[in-house]
Amino acid sequence: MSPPTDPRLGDRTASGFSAWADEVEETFQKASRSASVHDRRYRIGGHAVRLLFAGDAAHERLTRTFAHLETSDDGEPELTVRLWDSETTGIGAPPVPPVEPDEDAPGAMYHLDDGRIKAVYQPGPQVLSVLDEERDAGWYWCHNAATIPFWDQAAPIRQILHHWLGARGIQQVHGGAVGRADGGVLIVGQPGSGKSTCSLASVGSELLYAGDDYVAVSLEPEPRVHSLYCSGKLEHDHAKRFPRLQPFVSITDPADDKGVVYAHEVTPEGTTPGFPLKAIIVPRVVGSGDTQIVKASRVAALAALAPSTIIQLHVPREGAFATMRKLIESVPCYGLALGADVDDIPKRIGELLDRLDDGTAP
Amino acid sequence: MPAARYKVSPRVINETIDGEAVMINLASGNYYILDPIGAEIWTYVERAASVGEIVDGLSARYEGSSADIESAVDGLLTELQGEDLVVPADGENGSAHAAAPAAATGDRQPFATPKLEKFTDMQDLILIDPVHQVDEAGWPHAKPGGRG
Repeated sequence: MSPPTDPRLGDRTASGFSAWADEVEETFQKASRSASVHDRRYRIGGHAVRLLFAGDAAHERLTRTFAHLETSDDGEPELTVRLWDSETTGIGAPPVPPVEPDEDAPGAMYHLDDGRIKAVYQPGPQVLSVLDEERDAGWYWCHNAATIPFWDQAAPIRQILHHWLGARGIQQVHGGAVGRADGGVLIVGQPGSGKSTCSLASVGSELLYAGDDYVAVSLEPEPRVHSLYCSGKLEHDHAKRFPRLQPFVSITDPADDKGVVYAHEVTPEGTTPGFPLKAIIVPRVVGSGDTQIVKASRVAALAALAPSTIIQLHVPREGAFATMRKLIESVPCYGLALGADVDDIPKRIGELLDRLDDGTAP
Repeated sequence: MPAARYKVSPRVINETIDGEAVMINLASGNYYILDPIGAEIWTYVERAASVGEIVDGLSARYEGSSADIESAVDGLLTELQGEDLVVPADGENGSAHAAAPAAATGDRQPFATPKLEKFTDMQDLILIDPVHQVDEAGWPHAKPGGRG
């Protein structure tokens, strides 16, 4: 069955880039005629997003992380993204740049932005992401959905969502987030700081899980965290500290250094599309003693949030750094010294939220 | 060299919070924190002020000999240039006259040598995931001679 054609996509302009996007769409249409089509609806950042899959492989691997955001509302979507691969559908790759992979930089990315069409091509894993902002249309192609890198399975269409949500005042950030329906915390830090430990320790606790690696934030009308993915990534050695999560860890390739856990599969009621932001937390691994909350400087919080976000956004939207600075200025910032027992982490965060509510927080 | 001027490198973005500046070098992945006096010097650089204008501005706000202040400013600018955070702007007109007004006599704080903290933990991301900008001639033409 072919997916319904969006009438807006018939508008072929003289622009070379939008014409190229038309060719990408044609490739998807061919793929959808040769494979099963899946139509899934989500609310991401409060917006109606439609994911159209051609082929079972892409559908199976790229929907788990969005499970907590799925909706039965099949009304007009605000954004439609088409996802497929060549291996499953038998349809060749869409036109991509004739570039050679960097042998010493397998993650090399080729980036295009003409103001309307934004695209990223990664020749290493053979993944292409395209967004046409004028038509609210996106495309995500990979050569073989069965071999999508674990980080893309955990956080698919990240660049597409970054730009599309960013145009709507919702800034993607590198951080985790946990909390309650009436408010939670954004957890920020460089790789190795304990950010994932804090987020994943909260899965199955009294706190709701909004994300581990990438979430989104908005400032108006009040600071708010928006969940993008229910995934979390665990290094194999680190997984031993989370016996509750171990049965749920997915390993794409035994050679990968991390597995992926989808929090919605561990605790469907324990995930959330988002909450008001009450505080920023900057964790620090101590490894012994009690887990403790301390006051942190705002410059430390900005340094923990912005560089890793900016550098991983490939390429950041103008104003992203200023948005993060305003976010840090809008809520209190705390350090979290991580002690020996990971189960203490959600307790300390919960206590902080209680103290923020009753005005006794440091 | 009081007449020398510097400006922020085009590959650097920065924000100031609570008087301290956070800068990110997008080419190297390194990021930096400048303490308040350093952040104040940075605001002069953003206006392409000359070293002499920076020293004059700081001398009006801080207690310290002009020689010590100039030495500290030269030291910081040399360090910032070494980190590719600033580049020479000789020949450009600055706008130092828009700098903060001088504090009244008696309100000046003691001058302290500015400190620049450098963080390199994000370098690997640039090396592992270098971003290549596609040439304006269009997709799919790779930028001439460039793989980052």
